[in-house]
Amino acid sequence: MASSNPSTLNVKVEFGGGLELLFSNQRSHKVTLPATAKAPKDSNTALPVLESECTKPADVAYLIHYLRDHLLKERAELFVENGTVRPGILVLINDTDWELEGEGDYVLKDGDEIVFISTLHGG
Amino acid sequence: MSSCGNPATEQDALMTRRQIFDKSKICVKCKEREGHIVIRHAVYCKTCFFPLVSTRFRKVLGPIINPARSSAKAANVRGGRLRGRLEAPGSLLIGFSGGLGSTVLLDLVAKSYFYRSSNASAAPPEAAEDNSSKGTEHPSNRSREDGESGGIWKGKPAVCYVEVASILPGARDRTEDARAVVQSYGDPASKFEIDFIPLRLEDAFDESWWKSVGGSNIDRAAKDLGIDISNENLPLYASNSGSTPVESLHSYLSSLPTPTAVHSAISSLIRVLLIYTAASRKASHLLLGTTLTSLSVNMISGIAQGAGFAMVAEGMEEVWKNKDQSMRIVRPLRDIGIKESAFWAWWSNLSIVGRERYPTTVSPVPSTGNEPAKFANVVKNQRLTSIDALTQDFIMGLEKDYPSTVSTIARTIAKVTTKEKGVEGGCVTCPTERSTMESQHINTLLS
Repeated sequence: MASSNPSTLNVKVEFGGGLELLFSNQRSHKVTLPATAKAPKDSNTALPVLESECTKPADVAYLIHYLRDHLLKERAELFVENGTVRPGILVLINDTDWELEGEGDYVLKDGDEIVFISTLHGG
Repeated sequence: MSSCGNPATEQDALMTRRQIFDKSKICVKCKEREGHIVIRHAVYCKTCFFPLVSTRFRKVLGPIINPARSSAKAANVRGGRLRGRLEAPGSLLIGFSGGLGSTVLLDLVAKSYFYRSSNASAAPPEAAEDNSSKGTEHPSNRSREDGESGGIWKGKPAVCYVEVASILPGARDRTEDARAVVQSYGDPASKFEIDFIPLRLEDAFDESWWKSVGGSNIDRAAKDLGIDISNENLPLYASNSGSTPVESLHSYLSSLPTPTAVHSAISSLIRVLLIYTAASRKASHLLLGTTLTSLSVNMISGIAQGAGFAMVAEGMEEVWKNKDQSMRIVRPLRDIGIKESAFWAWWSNLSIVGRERYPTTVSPVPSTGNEPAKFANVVKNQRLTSIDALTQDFIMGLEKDYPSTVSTIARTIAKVTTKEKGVEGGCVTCPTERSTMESQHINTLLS
């Protein structure tokens, strides 16, 4: 799964707990991201960015916005809230709780596996 | 990190970010491996996580399996294992909603009492090849000379699922998905299986169902409740006897005044269905998959709705009694948060059926067919107007930033007790044994 282009990253994204319904009912996705992401205004990765805006390595926070802008088919408010995942959605980075990896600040590497699980189904 | 904004402080003074976990990333249990999950500021590795959760589960359920008259000393909860023989007075019924908690509950019950895997994380039932990996309850390990079962619970264990799609126009019926989950725990080699009992919410208004579970006494049955809310005496009128159960259900729910009342009524009807199903099977234990997080949600929303006795009962083991039987309603996941449940389900590769959020309004008449487009609009237009939905969103947000607070809520409210024991006669929709102390007082209020 290694990216042949050093300027891009290939990551595997999986959804569980019903979140897959928001992403074309597909549980597993392979996403190609720029290795160095420009930070666009309002975190909207679909907008063109100005050269004056700063760049940063692509991290999980960027991935969340990228998924919202490019893969999410409906009801973005069920996935993203206040710039991060909605409360009740757990994130695993390479099978580890993202709280142990720096949450949204974790810098993505080629081949990483990110999992988003919704806990909003209740008991 | 951000400035607190107080002009009296140094402008460069920044508020440090709250530490999510204490000390290091090494597992606090084994102190060897790197952690995989943070549970209320404590770090655990994947290997230590599974025994931790299963121990918490058995510590709640284990001590109350035997009848209450058993010696308390026999309920040694060291590691969740008990001294002496576990022997329940009746059968086992598990309430299954399709949600995360009940899915994990079913898995824990199966792996703790029916299958025993050397790899605590994992082995799906079909991977168990020899009897040593199966639990004491598994038929292949049961003592033959003890008769039919020789195990902990009498008879066959059962899972009861209540479908609510009839009140959500266009919603998908998940009964067969739930059946598939339950059947996955069967072991064809030893002919072990868990009974699957599918119900529908409208069965509470179906006289034939009531007769099948032996509850045909109309005075205590939750059926045909026609309520005229314009009359402050709230008289009950028998509904049109020609109505189908679905029509009666819609008529009842649509007559309720608030979204909170709709949510509460649906929960009560499901509970009635589970209790009477369990009673008809002579169950001694009815297990519900309420997690610590859900428990906190129920308690806070209960307080907001004026629940007193019911809220206290939610936090502890309940005892339901009929004239000739007694049943314990247990929530074995009450010490396990929704986060731990989600990780258990993911790492165990469990299939989550899912469940819909209860509607805030119900139409007076049932929908005519499968209307996915209409359902999408219903879901989209639902506002969080019920106390339960608002409380759930509040608690989920709280758990994200302050995980220990959710646990504190449940533990604090669990310490609350009531002065009086309640009223005899019970409630039509949630029959519970009450004492006679307040009966005359209540009768005076109603006259």
